[in-house]
Amino acid sequence: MNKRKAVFFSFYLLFSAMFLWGGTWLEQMSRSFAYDLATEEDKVSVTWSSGNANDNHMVGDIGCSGLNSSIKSIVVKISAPSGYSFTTPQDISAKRNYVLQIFARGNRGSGDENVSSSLISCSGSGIQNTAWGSDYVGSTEVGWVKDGTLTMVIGAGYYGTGNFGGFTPYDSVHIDIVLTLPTISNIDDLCKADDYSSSFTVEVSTSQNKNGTNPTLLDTLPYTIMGYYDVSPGSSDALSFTITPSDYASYYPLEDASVTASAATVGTVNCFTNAKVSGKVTNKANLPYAIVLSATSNYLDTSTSFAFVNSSDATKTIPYTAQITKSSDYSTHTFTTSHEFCKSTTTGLHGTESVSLSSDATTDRRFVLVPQEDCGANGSTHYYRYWYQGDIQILLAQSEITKISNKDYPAGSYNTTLYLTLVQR
Amino acid sequence: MKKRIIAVLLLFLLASSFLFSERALKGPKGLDVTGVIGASLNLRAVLDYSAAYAFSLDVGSTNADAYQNLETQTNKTGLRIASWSMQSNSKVDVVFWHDWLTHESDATQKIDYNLAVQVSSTEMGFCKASADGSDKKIKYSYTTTPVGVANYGLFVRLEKTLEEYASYAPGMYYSTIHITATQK
Repeated sequence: MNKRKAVFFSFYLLFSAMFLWGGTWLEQMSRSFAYDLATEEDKVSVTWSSGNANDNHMVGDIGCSGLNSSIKSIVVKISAPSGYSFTTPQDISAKRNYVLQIFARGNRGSGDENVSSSLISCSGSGIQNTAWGSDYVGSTEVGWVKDGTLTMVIGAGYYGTGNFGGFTPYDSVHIDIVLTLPTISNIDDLCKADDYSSSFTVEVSTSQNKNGTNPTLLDTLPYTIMGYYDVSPGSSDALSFTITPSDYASYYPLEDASVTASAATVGTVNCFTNAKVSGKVTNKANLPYAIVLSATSNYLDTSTSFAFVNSSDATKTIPYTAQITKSSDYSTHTFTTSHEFCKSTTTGLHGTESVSLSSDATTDRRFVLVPQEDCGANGSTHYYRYWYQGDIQILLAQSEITKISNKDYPAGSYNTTLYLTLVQR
Repeated sequence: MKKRIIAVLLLFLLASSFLFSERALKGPKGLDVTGVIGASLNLRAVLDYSAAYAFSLDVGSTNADAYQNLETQTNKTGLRIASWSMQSNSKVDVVFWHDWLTHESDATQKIDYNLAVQVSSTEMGFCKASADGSDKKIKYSYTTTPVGVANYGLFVRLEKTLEEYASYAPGMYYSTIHITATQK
């Protein structure tokens, strides 16, 4: 090997090492995907060591693998901008608060173990265990949060004893997140619904200091959880599919060409599954889920076009085109471009296009495939979930804009309904 | 034995000036979109409650916890009976009020109830019965135009438990909810 090649090889190793440490992963348990909000638990009694808390209570875990000795601590920050409570669009007054319990765990090759950790801060009404240590030589590894933000420092390694007292990094460090639904006296305040939801985020940072100072942010990872009360969640518990109207859904200004001449977002569609250990899908033909847009409740209907209908005279209709388009960052998805599952269109679809779900994405069609997302790796173990977020957009043809401008349509309100169906291929 | 039934006839008085081997896993889910042409005020209310627009006062009735007043309820909105929508390209005031649930043949038999109405993405309004809406009503002003409201809920909650209505006369009881939108 000549000298030039040797230098090149050294850089290759360096970059590999930089990417190895600090790798994060997210896992969301399928059995905790949708919570029965009628459940009541005493959060204080639910502790890991007592055996009351187990995987059935876990939302999931988030961790960091490939640590090296320069990383002395992991800093985890948990927050819920909309609060730690399940809410439903059916009744904005109905809320079911919950508490997150955080367990710090380390792995040195022989299974998970408790990790010494300390609490940096806990704003709002967070609860901290009274036995928190002052730094990661403390003995307590659990914290609670029910309001505000909880930030905790977790030791990224352990010290030996005697002549072997040096710092050794764990193979990986992670937190287990346990959700408890405290006992409440007014469970009857909840309304019957199966579309309760909540979300919180977890920031994972590394620090070269054992007290967590000067952290370097690695990742901000979202958790979305669902809930139901007094109604069955259906057969697909670990699968969420929601449609959220935007402002243009309640008032679409047909006379305003600055809105109607370009694709206007009337709503968003979200679909996701739990994150789990699974194989990477490399052929889009094997993606199992598709979202179909249709003009009637029958998603296979290819004979009905999208159209606004005058509320006073059903013979007065204004045709339009519609589309679903991506609105999120797909950089972590297992396909390199969004076009592999969502073809961009410039004119929109009429509702009469093909709905053959075995077709590819090279032609206009009324569906998008739900892509697979890589949620990170714990060593060589990868976590994946299916996740899609996109906009539902509508567009008027120039000929219709001209007709409206020429007063060819009577004044009044015009209604239409777009239908979205989640289909398993 | 005669059934003791309360029927809520909701007459919405809209006093506006205008008005593969694949299988479906979830859905279809509808997304309603309302377009507007011209100077317009459009007000619409749709009954959600499917049981002939009625709910029962009989003890043990299905889903009664949604509308009877229980001691365990401290913040109960009630039974969602309807949704309302509105579009306006001018500022608008909206007023809701309702009368008593009144027996079909005996006007002295009256039952009051709480009406809750979602008026914004974060706010609810509440009112009890009145004769003409002059004293008990929900008034909300929409000051940012255009105004678009889509499928906000209307909820009914009784003042007592079903056991406390046992002495009321059997038959149908009716009430009217009034919704008025006025452009400013």
